[in-house]
Amino acid sequence: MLAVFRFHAVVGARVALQSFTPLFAAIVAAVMLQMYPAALVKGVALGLFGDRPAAAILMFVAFLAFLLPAWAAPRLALGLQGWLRHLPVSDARSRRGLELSLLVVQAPLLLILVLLAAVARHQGAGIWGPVLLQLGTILAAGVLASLPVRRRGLLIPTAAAAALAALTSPHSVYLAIPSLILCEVAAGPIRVIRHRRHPRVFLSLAATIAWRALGWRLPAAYAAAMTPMLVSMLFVANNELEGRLAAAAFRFGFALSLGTCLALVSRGLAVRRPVWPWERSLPDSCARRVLRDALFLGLHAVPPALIGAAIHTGASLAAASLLPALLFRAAVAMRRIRESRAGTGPFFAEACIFSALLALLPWIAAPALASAPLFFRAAHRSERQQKVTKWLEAPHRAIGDSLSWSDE
Amino acid sequence: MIRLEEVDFSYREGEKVLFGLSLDLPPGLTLLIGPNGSGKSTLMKLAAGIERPDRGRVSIGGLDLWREEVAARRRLAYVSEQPDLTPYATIMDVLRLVCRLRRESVTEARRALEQAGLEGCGDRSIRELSMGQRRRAVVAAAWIGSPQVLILDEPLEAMDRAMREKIVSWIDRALADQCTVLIATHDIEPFAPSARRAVAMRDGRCRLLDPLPADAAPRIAQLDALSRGLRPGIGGQ
Repeated sequence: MLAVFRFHAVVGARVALQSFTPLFAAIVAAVMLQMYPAALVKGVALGLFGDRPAAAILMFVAFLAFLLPAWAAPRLALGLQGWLRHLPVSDARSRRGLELSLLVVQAPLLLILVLLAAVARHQGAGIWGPVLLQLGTILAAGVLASLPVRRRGLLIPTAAAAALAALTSPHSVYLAIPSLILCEVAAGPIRVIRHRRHPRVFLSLAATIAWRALGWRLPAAYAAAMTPMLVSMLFVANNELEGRLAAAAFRFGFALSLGTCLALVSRGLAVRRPVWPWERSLPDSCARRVLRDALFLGLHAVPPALIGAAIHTGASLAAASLLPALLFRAAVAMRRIRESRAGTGPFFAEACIFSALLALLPWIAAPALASAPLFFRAAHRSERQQKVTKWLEAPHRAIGDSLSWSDE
Repeated sequence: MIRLEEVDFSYREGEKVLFGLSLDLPPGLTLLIGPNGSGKSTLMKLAAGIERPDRGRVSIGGLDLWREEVAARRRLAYVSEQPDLTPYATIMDVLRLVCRLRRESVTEARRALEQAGLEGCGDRSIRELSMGQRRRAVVAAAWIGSPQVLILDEPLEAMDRAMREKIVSWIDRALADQCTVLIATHDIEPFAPSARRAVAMRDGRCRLLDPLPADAAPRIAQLDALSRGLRPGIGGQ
């Protein structure tokens, strides 16, 4: 029994580590962007652990408590439905092991709560028992709502209702806790994940494969790509800039939007649609593969470019002139990402430099456009030099391959 | 004809897997044998254009695999040891792609699927198939068109008896049509009678045995010894 739980705790910890950096980075960035960061932290700590917990802060905690297990559950469940199932472990024990994994996945959130509790205590607040019960109920509800079990239809509404009750009043947790326990007992065995059937291909197979691989990451990439554009708009709106400076700000924002979009889409492709070695034996060429990738990436840069054109046509055109160079650099990044732990970071840094140069020296649009063939050659060389059958962790981990859970 | 000239290859910097390999493989069946980890599959990947050599040249029918990429690959069919078809497409999607690239009609894909006993599996992704069915799908892709060079990595692995017979008879027909067939296998017996030569791999180096003994018993004994890596002193060709 202990061995099973230890195994699940370790697996959960590994998955938790993946969410740790982005979550903390986002929170630190959000705090540091405030006018008074220390005051914000103190306010949140007292708002959570003070006499009357603030509903908005509790709701944010609940959001993370549901998000983290929901993100981790498919990965963890995939590892449980193969070879592990022949081991002498009951369904109920496997499910509880998975629950433990999901609880461990919430470790980054728990750490944040512990830090906030320490701050609140330092500010003289007594940690109120019912708040801890409220938080515990919310965390448990988050775990149960993400469990891929047979009676999921019962679990999700009960967990949501329990979390809502815990959010509204400290006393309602006494009702929520027994209902969560009952639901856990009645949850049933872990459901085997069936792969979705693919609909017919109407467009090119390469594009269809890429879209299927990207899935919901595409809207996320667009949302992120809008950020620099939005920031440049706010910058121009909130500062009295003359036309030339406003255009420079727009050029920077628009070019960086394109770079962000390409960085995220190319990362998604590199990780979710790894190189398909067998395909390379078919009568096709490296040049065509690079061009296909560049075209696919370019297609996804069109919406941000059009939105930019609607805001400031000149700046958008200048930013679009960087597109061929950025597309081929992204194609190179996709091929290097496999072996690099830095992900698309180097490409994003290049995009930042290109954007800054374009903002300061708009005439570089012409040489950037003219040098596209050189960038294409670099991408072509990168495609040819790939070691496509070498074992690399990232793409295997992305599809939940249990062999990827190595220490590499 | 498959030609490798002074080929070096490594997966990681400074860790060579193949050393200065030179081979000329004319039409006929060549068996590639050797113990696990000797570099057989890597050599197959280089011959099929999956991996590019760090040094040297690989050509198919006189066409350089990395200079005349499309033309050279149009002549070859590769059956990989791992059936690594993409999980984001159905089997029929993949076969249609092969038809298009080999300039064959789509009916060829359906025919290959039927021949491989996968009629009902065309709309499934590779993830929904058993290991044997996955390998059948890769073999079905090799059956499309009339490739002149067949590179087959453990072609009988995970196959049932009926499919093994189909594959062996397909190879026999290809040999009758003067195709070049390179097979990496530990399963020597089904191919020993029609093998014209053998390449023995050991520690990233190879030795060509051409011709093989004419009599069946010494031929199998020699191939068996080589596949176990028993022969010492294997060097370049």
